[in-house]
Amino acid sequence: MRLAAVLVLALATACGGAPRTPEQTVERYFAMLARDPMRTLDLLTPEFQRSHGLPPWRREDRAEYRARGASPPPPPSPEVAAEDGLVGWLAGQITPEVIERAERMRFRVEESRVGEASATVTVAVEPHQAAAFRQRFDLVRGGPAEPWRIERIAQEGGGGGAWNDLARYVAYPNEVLARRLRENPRGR
Amino acid sequence: MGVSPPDGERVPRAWALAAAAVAVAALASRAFNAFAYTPLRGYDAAGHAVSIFALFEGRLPTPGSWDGFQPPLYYAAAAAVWHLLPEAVPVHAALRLLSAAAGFGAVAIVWRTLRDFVSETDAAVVSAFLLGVPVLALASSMVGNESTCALLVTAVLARLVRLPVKAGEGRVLRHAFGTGLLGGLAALSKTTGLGAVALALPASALRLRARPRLALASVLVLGLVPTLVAGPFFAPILRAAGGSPVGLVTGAASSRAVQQAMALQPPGERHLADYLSFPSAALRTPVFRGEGLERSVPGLLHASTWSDAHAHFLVPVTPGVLRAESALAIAGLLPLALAAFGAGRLLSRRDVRAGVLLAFAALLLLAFARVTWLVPTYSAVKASYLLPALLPAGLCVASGLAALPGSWRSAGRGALLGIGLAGTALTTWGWHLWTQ
Repeated sequence: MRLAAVLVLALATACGGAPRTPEQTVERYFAMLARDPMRTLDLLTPEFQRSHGLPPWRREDRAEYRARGASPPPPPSPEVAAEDGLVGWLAGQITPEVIERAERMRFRVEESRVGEASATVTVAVEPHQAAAFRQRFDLVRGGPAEPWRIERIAQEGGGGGAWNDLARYVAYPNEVLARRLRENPRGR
Repeated sequence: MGVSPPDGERVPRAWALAAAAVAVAALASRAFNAFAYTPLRGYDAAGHAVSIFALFEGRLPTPGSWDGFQPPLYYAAAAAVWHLLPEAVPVHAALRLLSAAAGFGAVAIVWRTLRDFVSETDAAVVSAFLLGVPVLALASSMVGNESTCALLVTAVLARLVRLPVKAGEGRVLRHAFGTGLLGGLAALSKTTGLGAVALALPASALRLRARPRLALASVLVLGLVPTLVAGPFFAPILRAAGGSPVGLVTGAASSRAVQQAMALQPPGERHLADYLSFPSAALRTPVFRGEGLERSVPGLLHASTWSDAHAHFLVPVTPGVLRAESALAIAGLLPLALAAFGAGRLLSRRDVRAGVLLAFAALLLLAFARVTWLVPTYSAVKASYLLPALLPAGLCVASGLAALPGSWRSAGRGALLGIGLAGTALTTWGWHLWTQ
């Protein structure tokens, strides 16, 4: 088992690409989102994985859990929360509707501020049949040789209503928008 | 006495071509599905993907995470594929092709082994048929460890059937070493593989009963090798599960999220009657939420063998999809009847080799029943848990087919190939209809 991990690590070293710029990381995020979702995983920090809030388990289970009045379980360890967060992140972007809209979404980088260990990239997003909005990416890296990873995403603009919520969800799947869309199913 | 030994019949050209055509259609379907199915739909595909990502990064999955309890062999293989993959190929598509290769590998072993029991024609027909059964077609179109486990377990079972009982000691022990190694790898691909390891010990002892000293040495090798290969992974999980094999298999021992999801599954507690009922909904609406189906374990099992009962791919919002799933579920009664007839025939012949395979199928069914008792619904809709019994299932169908007389046998061959082709068509075409 350990040997397998070491072998994979050796392969990673042999085949790994060069560190990306913050803009390239953001471009890759949009290119892979919903279409090749597994390739979004190494663009994200553990902090991001914990922050989007999408759950790894099925939503009806959670609803039933609440309906039964069961007491909330203790919080998971940070490592488990981050890995469960990745499961939720993947599960949250693989409906046909999200995939179709992700393919039709356009974006362009408006502004980029790059420091030694942190960067901010702001993009203008033009979704299909919904209002345009801005999405700001905060990125970090562990050192000059390390790749940039997305730590936080914030959105502004885009108007109200379910269709605009859906467009923002496609660009940044997260539990706040998912809940809003569940409460207004016409939007899904 | 053997079970319907090879009759020396040469594979008639027409049947060989028909079986090959059905197999090629299945191959084309898997290649299509790998790219066409919605990314990461399937049984816990997102959880598997995250574990693959962990190995891709050169670390092991976190034990308490969603699929962190699963053994790592499949994830390591998938991570290696990912590393070698060009950017133009989506990762999930390549990993589905890995599942497809494992599924075809398992059926290839079935085909080779069936030829020891029935005619080459029947072996070819039954193997081609198996490729189209939706449970295999879908499992080998998903990101997941189901078909890898089926491949390795099938390899173990085939070796137990072909154990050279009269060969020299060295050869028998080398054979035991190879079988033990494959058993360890099967367990490292999915915990279901432990069943093959558990069976290998008594099966080997039984087959070598005429040579007690060699039987004992063989059993020792078969016990020691898998323990060395898989023990380091399973020992801590077994400790966390308090020694409970069910906790080991379901992941409830180490994952709070899994515990939570399991505790909330409808319909709540299972009852004995749930194992004895077979509602017509299993044939009319063979989907997870089919009316009255929730309480029937055989009904859910049949539904998930012959349709996409979880509706991961073939969402029955289009009436045509549900009608096609229903038609296939009804047609599935024929191979089921053939298998039941074949199983009875095998039992009456007292062939030890067939007995080993039937014992494994019985062990797996018992384990399945136990898990569905504890995890009421979702596990009962996963006929793919039983995929490691592909070889026993194929043998039962083939034995039933081989017992049919004359023209009935030809009709049976034609029907099996037709059902296999229909299954392949459904698991390809159904998705297409739904999304267009």
